[in-house]
Amino acid sequence: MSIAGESTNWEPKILAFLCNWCSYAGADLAGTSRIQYPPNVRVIRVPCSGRVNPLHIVSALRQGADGVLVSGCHPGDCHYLSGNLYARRRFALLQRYLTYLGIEPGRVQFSWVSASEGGRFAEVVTEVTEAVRALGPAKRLNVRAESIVAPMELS
Amino acid sequence: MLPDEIRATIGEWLATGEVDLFIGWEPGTVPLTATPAFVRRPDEVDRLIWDATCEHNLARFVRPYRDKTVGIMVKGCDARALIGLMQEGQLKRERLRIVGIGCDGVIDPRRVCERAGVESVEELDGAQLEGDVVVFGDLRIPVAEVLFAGCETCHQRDPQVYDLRMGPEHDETSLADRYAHVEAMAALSEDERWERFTSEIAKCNLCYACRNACPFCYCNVCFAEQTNPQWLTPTAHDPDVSFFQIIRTFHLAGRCVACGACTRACPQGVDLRLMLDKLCADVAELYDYVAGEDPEAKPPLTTYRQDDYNDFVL
Amino acid sequence: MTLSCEAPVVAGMISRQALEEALGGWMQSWRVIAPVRQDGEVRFQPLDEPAAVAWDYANAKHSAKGVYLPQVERLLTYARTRDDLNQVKATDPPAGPTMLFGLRPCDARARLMVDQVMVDGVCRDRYYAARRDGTVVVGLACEHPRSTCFCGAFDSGPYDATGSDILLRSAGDMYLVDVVTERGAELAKDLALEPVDDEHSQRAEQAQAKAEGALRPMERLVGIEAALEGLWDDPLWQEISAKCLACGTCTYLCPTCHCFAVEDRALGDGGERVRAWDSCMYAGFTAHASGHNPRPDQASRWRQRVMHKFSYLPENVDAYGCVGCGRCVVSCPVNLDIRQVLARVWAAARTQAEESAL
Repeated sequence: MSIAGESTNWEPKILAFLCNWCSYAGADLAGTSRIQYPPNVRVIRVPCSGRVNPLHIVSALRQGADGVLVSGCHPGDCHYLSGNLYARRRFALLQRYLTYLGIEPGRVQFSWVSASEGGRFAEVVTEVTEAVRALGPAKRLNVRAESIVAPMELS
Repeated sequence: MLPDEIRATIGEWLATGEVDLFIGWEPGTVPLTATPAFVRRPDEVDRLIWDATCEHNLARFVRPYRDKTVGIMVKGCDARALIGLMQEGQLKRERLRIVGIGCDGVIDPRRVCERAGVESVEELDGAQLEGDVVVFGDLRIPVAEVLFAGCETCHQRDPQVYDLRMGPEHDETSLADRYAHVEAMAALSEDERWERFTSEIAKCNLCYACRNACPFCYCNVCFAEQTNPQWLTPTAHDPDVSFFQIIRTFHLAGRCVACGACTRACPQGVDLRLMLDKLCADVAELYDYVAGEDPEAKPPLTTYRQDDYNDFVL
Repeated sequence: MTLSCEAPVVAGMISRQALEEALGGWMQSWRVIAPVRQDGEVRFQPLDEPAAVAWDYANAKHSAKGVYLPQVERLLTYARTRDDLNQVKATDPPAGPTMLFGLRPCDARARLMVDQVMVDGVCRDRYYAARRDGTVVVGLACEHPRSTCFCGAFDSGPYDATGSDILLRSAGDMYLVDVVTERGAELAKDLALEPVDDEHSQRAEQAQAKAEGALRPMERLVGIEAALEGLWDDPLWQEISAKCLACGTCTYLCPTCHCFAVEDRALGDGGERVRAWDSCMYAGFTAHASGHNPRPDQASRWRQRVMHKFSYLPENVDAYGCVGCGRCVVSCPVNLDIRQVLARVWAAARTQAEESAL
């Protein structure tokens, strides 16, 4: 649970939207290659990075994600030809907008990782995890930050 | 002032059936207020007015009538909205008869209240517009001093689409001033920006007037009212309000024509321009695009270039 | 209609200073909510100090209904903990008696009207009752009705004592104190009252005549439910609703509107159930889970709004869902004036009567 200040062993909780054809496969390759990377990332597989709606990203922050990563194919390599190109414009604007409104830069990140780039995937996840760790638990937009319910105690 | 020949032409359009309906403005029941008028008969055209109280973006009302032929009065900004709706395939040009108005801005009644030392607009009883001056008792206030803030930095006061034209012609103004408030916000620290954003939207009570006044918010089911999935609970708690504001404004990226209807409709005085102008500024900077100029242009989020801005990607 | 009261009894008169002293005393044992100036507008707020009362206010943009029916209200919370998988806690509304000080007659009557639905009718809303029970109202008669006020159309007026326990009437440098109810009589004992002299009595009466005369003439609305009976299929609903933005501002500001939705918010290991204001102006208000919506357009929603306020409520609880405060008229972004709508209703009913007489 990412309730601010509730626990001293807080770990960043990062939601990663990975496109099925490139980034998810790249993540899979990182796994089969036994490359170590931080376990903080929860993966949601999508057909294409263009499928990711700004609603998903902001909703993730609202529901308590400390960070959000969206990763797709390199421009020019999209399995659906242009999905990631539409996504690129959408995400460029969204990231600038969230930063402008005061959401800490580093919480919402984007990458292009291909199916053969297991190592690159691990690098990206490590970079994003460390950036979010440095920022601390996400409170802005987090509906649970004002929650009055007690977190479930862990044994 | 609505010129007689324009009024007569509108009457003819209605009499001959060239339009099924004409949407304009008529005087309101609250001082310094106009109200949208839906006119169907030639003898009703005498109700129509044009002056600096005609602040509503009437383009918002056209879409339900898009299978009819509709006449409409539009200021420079409203005309941009019509162009945008045409771009999005929501309106057909041949189904519209447009009276375009070269506009010098609309007044902000709240500013008039401040100058007059009253708290609320209905206390301006007897206030009138005489030409380009607001007259209230002994007070004479030039309209130019009590304009709606967005009008002061309007980048295109002249309608870019019309069948009939009225009002003054203007030289093109530069866009530079328009983003001054965005630049000022961007220059603040991250915490200051968050503070500014949250204090603005703290005023919001999720009434959706902004969304409903916007010509581009026409989804059959708005994300805010979707139940499957339910994105937000309409509780007017801060995380729900900020979620609504961020997403609704973001849905206007590349589409917002900066008409200001949302900001004027807001009963709480939330400064929505501060958010929307940022999106307009980024769209202009990154994709060299200003909404509402060219009916043939593709809105920026419906297209792409191979060499689009990529530096933000890890 | 039940929204009336027996003639109040003049208990005496009091200076503003003495009233403020009394307020200081009341603030020790009551939560006093009064009109206060903040950020350039008048709002109903808990009073910090007696001098903060905005004595000369016209009316606040927002009604005072948030005091007894908050916009968002937590009804219960639930949580899972290690030991208890199902902890449900009902939240208790704030305790402690509340005084609404300086309420205008329209708002005082509005509160009585909402009471008819929420506590005095077939059921008793426990959360509303907890906030409302024990509340006293010190009303402030309205010397300067605005051009948008129409309380007179309900056989009421700016000096109506209905809904107040005490009504204050300004008489220049003094206020006349009218006791309306037994609770008001109790409260009046805390006031340093002087006997009323002729001069002040006359001043108060003159102010009342002036205020009542200042109301814009409007066709009487009492009895309009009969006019609405035959108008279900009338085209007027389509016409008057054409410019409505469905923003709900009117319902939010209205002191008699009380519709709400109950929402559950899951917050991971627990959650909360909240009650929040809802609006019949919204499409989602009557949207069914099946996708069907019995009020699919703004015309049917506007018909409902008018019928609810001017036909169903009078029939069910013997009170109109409108007190003529004019807030909706002032704040509607498209100036959809309910007075004009009601005039159309009368006109449509007359046309119908004429046509059926032929």
